[in-house]
Amino acid sequence: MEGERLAIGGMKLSVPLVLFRWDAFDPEALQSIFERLGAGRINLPVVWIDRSAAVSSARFCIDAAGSEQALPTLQAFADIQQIAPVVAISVYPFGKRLTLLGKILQAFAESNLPIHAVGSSLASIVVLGDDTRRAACVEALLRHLRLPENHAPFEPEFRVRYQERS
Amino acid sequence: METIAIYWEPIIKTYGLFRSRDLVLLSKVVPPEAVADVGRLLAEGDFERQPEIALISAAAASDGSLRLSVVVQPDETIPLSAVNTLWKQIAAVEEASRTVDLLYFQGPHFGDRFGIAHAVQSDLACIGLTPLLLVCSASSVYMALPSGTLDRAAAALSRSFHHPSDDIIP
Repeated sequence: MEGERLAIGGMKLSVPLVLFRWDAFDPEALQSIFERLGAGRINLPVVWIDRSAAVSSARFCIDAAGSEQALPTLQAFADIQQIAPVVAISVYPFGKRLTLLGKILQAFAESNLPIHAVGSSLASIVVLGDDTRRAACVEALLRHLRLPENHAPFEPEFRVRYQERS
Repeated sequence: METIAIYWEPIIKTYGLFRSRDLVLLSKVVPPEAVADVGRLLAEGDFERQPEIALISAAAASDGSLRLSVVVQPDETIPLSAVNTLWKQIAAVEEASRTVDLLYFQGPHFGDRFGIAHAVQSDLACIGLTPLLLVCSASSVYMALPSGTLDRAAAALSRSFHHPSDDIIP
């Protein structure tokens, strides 16, 4: 039962990402990892850290294209699980209600698509799914969400890279 | 097409630190077989009467269960009970509720820049403060903090982050 499709403003899909999952993490070690990744100019486009429960959990992503540089830092920690590749799908607008979250959970679960994580930003809800099934993720979402006719493209049309400033 | 972005900031610029007090963090661990039903329940809930949801965070465990957390902002017109009625219908193997403060901000191209999450962690670690939830996605950084720690957290973040106004309460 899909119910009425919820009108949204658009969706954006990330480039393929590598997701790292660390439950019951060591906070100092995690801070050190983030410091080393930052020093290596490696961006973390998505970070979730939950210390509200008895067992803490951390999830963070890096661009799959640049993951080789990060892996030596991360592979030193046996408890960090690597899940790759994943895609971050941003659905706009968040709307500050639970309706959109419900539609996303329903869409993924009914299509047996794994949900690795979900988080809100100021404007959107971001869901992490399997990148190998990104088309299926979009298809599942669109069974529950309705795009406007003139919506923005799903895939980024440009990429930002850093340039050293002397 | 490629855009080359150049940043050089001794202190990272933001569009302001936004602060909210006395919100409620509701958490549930949803078993994998219940996720579709939970989605349906939330999607079809009486959303006109829901208080504002300030933050959503969910992460899957290795067994497929989903730890779902929402930060709710009740006010005089829509009390917490409006969402509690819905929330209590969610099947869960574990649940919790606590009062929290919320601090969030965004800055230029945060989603494309390295070092943001570490700067947050590092600043808060300097005062021994641990966010209950930290969610960085797109260009936003959100954190749910233990109740009563908001001002200390905002002051600590001034080490790495520049904010144009001292206090923004949406």
